[in-house]
Amino acid sequence: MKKSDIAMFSAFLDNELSEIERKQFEKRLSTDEKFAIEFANFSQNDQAVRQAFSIIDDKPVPNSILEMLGEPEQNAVEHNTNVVELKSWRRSIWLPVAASFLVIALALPMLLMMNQQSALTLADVLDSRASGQTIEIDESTNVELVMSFSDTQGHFCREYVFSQSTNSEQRISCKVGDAWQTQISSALSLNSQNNYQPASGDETQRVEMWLDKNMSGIPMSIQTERKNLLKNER
Amino acid sequence: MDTKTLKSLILRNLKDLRRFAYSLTNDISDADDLTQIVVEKLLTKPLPEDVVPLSWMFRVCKNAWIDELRSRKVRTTDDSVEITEIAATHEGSNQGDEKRQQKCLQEAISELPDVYRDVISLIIVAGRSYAETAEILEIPIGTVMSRVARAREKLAVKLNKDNEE
Repeated sequence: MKKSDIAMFSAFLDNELSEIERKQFEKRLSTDEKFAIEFANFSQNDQAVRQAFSIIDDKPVPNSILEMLGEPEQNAVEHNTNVVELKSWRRSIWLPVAASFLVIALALPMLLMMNQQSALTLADVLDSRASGQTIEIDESTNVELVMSFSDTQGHFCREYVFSQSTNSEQRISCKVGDAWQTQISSALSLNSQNNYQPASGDETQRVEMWLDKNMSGIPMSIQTERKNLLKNER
Repeated sequence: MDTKTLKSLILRNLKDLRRFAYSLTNDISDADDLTQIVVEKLLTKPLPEDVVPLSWMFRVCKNAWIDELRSRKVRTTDDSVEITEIAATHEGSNQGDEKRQQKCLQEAISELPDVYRDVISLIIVAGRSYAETAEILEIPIGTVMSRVARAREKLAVKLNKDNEE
């Protein structure tokens, strides 16, 4: 399927086409059977995704939330039998206290371990670590692994955010032979909430355009990525 | 924005917020815990002046979940665990083919890189527009469009493959 067709399906499903574009789209749906079948497939997938996550609507909103919002407990009886107990990860107030004891207990062995570990390089990280993680290379350098994919020439490629001190870049590198080659990078800047964002809209669009042109198919699944990482292990 | 108006805004969008939280956590209890954290944060911390309140609500939710994942340090390096948990969440609510399809769908979504899951969660699950999603994720609208199209393409490939097997 053409990428432009998929982008069109997507924008139509999200009601993001202009009036003229929408009419053109609907006309094509009524005249191009293959296009219509593919669209129906995408539309069904959307419906399935929505259904899957609307299951939570059947569960009453916990009283604790309604109380904060000043809502009368309309379903008090039902809620009382279904009080959501806060899980351990919610009890964050106590975590720093517990952590301070842990730090004392763990600090010495960890320092010893750090001395024994060999230094990580960016290539090591790209060769061996799964996407979704942030890896610290040294005190001032982090790599946040976003995704993996194959380029049109069959190289194994990775998108990641490389941060050093106050500088951060969104990068795509591909493994050509035994070396990782940076294909494109764009500067990121810190926003008011201390999160990195593209320094400008054009910057991130450059990366997206590169992906549109050079990515073969779709991003790798976790399993496929894992197989490629195993191949790379040296 | 005064507290009364803010509460009213949260209440009007609570359903979408819970769905979004569920799509991030894949667990209903965790989703409600996360929703509670978001509501607490919104009501106790002043809203930054330069943000759209509705977008800010979803951004707080996403960032709170990232903080939680960092503290758990178990982000899906082992997807089999996540998929097992998802299947358990829906145990009893589906049967036969429907259950298998549900599992395939959740598996396909869990396999998406985070940047694609984010747009799927915001646009398809929580019903946000491209402009709102761009504001929430702090990326240009063009990037939102590209990512959601790629995410749908990947879902379609994965789900069609599973149906053929």
